[in-house]
Amino acid sequence: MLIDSLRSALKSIWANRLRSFLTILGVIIGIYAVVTLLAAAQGVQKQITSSVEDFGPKTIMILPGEEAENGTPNITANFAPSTLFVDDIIYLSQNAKLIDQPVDYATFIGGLVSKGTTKISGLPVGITPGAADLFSVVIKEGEGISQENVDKKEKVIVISKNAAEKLGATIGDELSIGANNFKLTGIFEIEQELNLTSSSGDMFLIPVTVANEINQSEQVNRVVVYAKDINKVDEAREEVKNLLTAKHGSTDFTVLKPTDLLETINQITDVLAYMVVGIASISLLVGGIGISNIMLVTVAERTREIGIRKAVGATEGAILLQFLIEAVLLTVIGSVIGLLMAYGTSLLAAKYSPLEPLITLQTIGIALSMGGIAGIVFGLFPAIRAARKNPVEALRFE
Amino acid sequence: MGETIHALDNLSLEIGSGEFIAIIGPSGCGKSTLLNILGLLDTPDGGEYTIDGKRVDDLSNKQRARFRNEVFGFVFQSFNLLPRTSAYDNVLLPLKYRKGDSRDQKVREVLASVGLSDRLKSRPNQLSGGQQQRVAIARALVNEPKIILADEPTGNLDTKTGLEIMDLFKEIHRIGTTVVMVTHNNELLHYATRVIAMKDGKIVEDRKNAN
Repeated sequence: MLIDSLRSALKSIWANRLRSFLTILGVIIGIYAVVTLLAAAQGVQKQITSSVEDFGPKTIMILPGEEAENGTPNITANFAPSTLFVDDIIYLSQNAKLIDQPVDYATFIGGLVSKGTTKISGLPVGITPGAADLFSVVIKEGEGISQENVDKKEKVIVISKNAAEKLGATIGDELSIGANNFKLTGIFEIEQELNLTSSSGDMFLIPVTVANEINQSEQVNRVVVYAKDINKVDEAREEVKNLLTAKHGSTDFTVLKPTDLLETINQITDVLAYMVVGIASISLLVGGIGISNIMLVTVAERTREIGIRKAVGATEGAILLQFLIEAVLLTVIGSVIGLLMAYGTSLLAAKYSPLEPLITLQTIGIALSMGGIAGIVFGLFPAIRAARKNPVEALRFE
Repeated sequence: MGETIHALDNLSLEIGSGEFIAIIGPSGCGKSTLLNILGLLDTPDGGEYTIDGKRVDDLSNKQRARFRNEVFGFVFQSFNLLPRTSAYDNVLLPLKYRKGDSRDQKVREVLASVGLSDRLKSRPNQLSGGQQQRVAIARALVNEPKIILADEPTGNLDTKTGLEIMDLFKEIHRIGTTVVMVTHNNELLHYATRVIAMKDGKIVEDRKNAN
């Protein structure tokens, strides 16, 4: 019975294929919009999530500048002189009981990097060996910054592959930042495009001790510590915060657990998702009214068919189901087309833009059920009209 | 508004199993309305209707649909086949609205019995009027109904084709099916075992045919 109805619905849709297509255009566009936007939002969410998860659950970061009201780092503090210093690091190393040694940190310095007359801009950063993790770098050639480099204040530099190509530099070349010359000892790639700690553009890593010398200051811009015990990450964070607050006399810094950020990010993308679904519902509403309209026309055109079916024993329920299935099939076909178009767009976006859209099963489920529900809601009234037709009058219909 | 018209007026009729009844009368005399009421397509404003001793005038729409499916077979003047649908699928239609198996076999058998074994896939617009009416008769017969209701079944056909169709009805009647046929054509009355003449919603003559 159901298969019969499906077949007859498909046949009827196909018999009026141009009209059917124009009718479901609204649904196609609605579903396309929902899926594309959701895919973009969830793609960003996934990228951020994996870059945060790279730090591992034990990671605690300390950033200069007072925490913003909502608990997120104060971005503007990046542009002011840092409130953290090397002696804070030493103090933490000596007094914090719940964190692993050593405490890694990074210091930003200014200046263009040049090889001969070629200059490129970017962010030179002085780091301790462990702090390389902060920037998700993966050494591809040569070596990263070592503890020995840091201890001996060796003027070595590690740059990104991209920067190396721009400068035409290879391992062993001499590069300079301002008046200081460095030997290129390593080339890295950045694993995550989206990164919590780095700005966009190229990064150049040098030993942190050298950076402090160039800055003529003991300023520190980023500190990363690891909790000893995975079950005591929050305690370790409190300890760090309390120690530094006592030392500084105020909390002029932000201590954060990167995984805490995930919650905020998830909240934002969730709100975005609701908005997208809301907006798309409006276009589905418009599309749905089109479905209602065309189904009413279909029912009127097929009045005689309804009469014939009733004469040979179709119940009102069977007629209702037949037209309802047709409406739902229309909207579901529209949803599938919209989904496929969104999938194509996502592939293109992944290829030609930094976005990596993600179509989840949940999104597919939302799209198909929105389509199906629209079919039921907007197909019901025409189907009821079809079912209630008087068979004698319907058979007389020309 | 205008005066109320009684398509049927205080009409009483009893039909025996296995009869072949021809209903005649001028246009608008209520023949078709009577046929539609007999077939449970239409509902009278009042009165009683029993089939095999069972009251059927107070049935729900669903039960009426079931009766139409199982007890009656309709044949119309204008064939009333589904357009763009093969002869096979047209005959299959009543079977779709009931439970049961060997549907394919039944459809093929009944189409063979009306002489259309070779036109299973033909659509109505690829068939002649006579062939279309044969498909319609096959559709009426496929559920093995007790009663065939035919509303001027030869009205749209030429004389020769009409007689061929009448031979089919004769055969249907011969195997024990009750036939009630509305007609304008007095030449067809000899097929019937009983002739009922109507005028203004009333039965004015009811005679047995001696054949």
